[in-house]
Amino acid sequence: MALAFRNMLRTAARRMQVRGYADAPKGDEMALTFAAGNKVFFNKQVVKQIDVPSFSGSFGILPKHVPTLAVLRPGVVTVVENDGKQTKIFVSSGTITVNDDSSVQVLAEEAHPLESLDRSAAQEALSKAQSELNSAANERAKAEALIAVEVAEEVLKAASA
Amino acid sequence: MVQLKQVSMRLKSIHNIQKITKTMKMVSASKFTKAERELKSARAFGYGPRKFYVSSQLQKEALGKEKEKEGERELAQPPEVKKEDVKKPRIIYVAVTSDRGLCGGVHSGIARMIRRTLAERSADAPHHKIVCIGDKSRSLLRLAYGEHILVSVKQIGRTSPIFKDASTVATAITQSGYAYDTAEIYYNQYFTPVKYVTTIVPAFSRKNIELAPKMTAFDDIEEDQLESYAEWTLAALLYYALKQSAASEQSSRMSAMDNATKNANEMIRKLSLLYNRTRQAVITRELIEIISGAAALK
Repeated sequence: MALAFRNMLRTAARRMQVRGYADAPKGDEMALTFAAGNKVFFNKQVVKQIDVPSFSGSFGILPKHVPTLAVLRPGVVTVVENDGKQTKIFVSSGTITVNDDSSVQVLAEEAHPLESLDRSAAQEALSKAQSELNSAANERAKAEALIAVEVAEEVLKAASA
Repeated sequence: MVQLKQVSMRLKSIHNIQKITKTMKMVSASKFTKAERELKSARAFGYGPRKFYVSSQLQKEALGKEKEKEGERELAQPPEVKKEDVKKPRIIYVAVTSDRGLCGGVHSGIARMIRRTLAERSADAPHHKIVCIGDKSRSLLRLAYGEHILVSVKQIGRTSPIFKDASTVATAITQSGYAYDTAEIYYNQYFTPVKYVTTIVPAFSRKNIELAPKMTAFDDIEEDQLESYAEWTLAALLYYALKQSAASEQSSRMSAMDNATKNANEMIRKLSLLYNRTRQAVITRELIEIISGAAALK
C-alpha cells in the first residue's frame, strides 16, 4: 500500500517536473512581451505565432525568426498561443523587436482587444478626423489629421470584421 | 517671559501646518497606489528596449541587474562610443523630475548625479546638453549649467504621466535639432515604498543603433523605419522613466509628509506645555498682584 502510494507520488512529481521544463523558453520557442500604455497583454509568455502590421507590410513571426526591428502601424495584431487560442488586439502605433534569442517585444502606445472596439464611436472618430483634415491649415496639422484618419479607418475595419 | 499671545499664535499655526501635511500625506498615499498600479503595465516599456540593446550588444550589462552603486556608472557607456575618441560623443542628459517639491531628496538626487557626471566628463563639455523634465530639475541645474539646457518641460507631476507626455517630450527633443548619439535618462527607479535608487537608462539614436556590434545579425531595415524606431523607443523609455519616477516621488513624499506630521506633533506637545505653563504663570502673577494690592489697602 505504502509502496503504491510512493510510486504515485513519484509519478506525480515527475510529471510536474516535465511540465516545468516545457514552460521555460527554449531555443526554438519565442517569448512574447506585448504591452501597451494601458495594459500588459503578454509578459514573456511562450506563444506559437504573432502576426503584426508594420510599415514595411504585415508579417508573421514564428520561432527562430531572423532578428529584426519594425515600426507598428495601426491595425490588428494576432497572437496564436501554444494551445491554438487566437487573440486579436488592435494597436495604434509602436515598435516590434525580434531579438536573436527569439524573444519578441511588441510595445504599443494604445492597444485594445477587438471585442472592446465600438463601431459607431469609430465612425464618429473617422468623420471628425476627416473634417479636421479638410480644415487643416498647415502641413503639420494636415499630417496629424492624416494619421488620425488612418487610425480611425483601421479601427473601423477591425471593428466591422 | 514668553508672551502668552505669541505662544498661542504659534501653536495655532503649527496645528494648521500639521493638518496640511497630514492631508498631503493622504493625497500622496492615494496617488502612490495609483502610480504603483500603473507602473506594472509600464515595466515592459523599460524591459523591451533594454533587451534589444543587450541583444544587439549596444549595452554590455546583464538585463535585470540594476546598477545600484554609482561607481559602476561608467560601465553603462556603450563600448563603441568610447572608441570614437576623435569625435566626442554627443550626450544629452535627461533629468526626470516633476514640478512639485516637498518629497525628500528625489529631485535633488537626480540633479546631484547629473552635476557629478558632468563634472567628471567636463573635458567634452560643449557636447553636453541637458533636458529638464519638470520645473524642479530646471531650477536645480539652471545656475551651474544654464547654457547647456536644451529643452525644459513643465507641467509634470500634477496628474499621473501618460504616454502622450512622454511622446511630447520625445518630440521636443527631436525637434530641438540636436544630433545626439546617446540620451542618458536619469530617473528614480522605484523598488519598495521606502526604497528608490537613482538610475540611468541610455537611449540610443538611429546612428548608434546602426553601428551596434551585432546589428549585422538583424534583418535589413529601411532607414526611415529605423529612425521612427529610435524615436519611438526614446518615447517608450521616457514613459517608463516618468512612471518610475512618479511612483518614487509619491512614495517619498508620503514618508516626507509622515515625518513632517510627526515633527509637528512633537512641536505641538512641547508648545502646549509651554502655553499651559505660561498661562498658569500669568494667573499666578495676577493673583499675587490682587492679593498684595488688597493687603496694601488694609
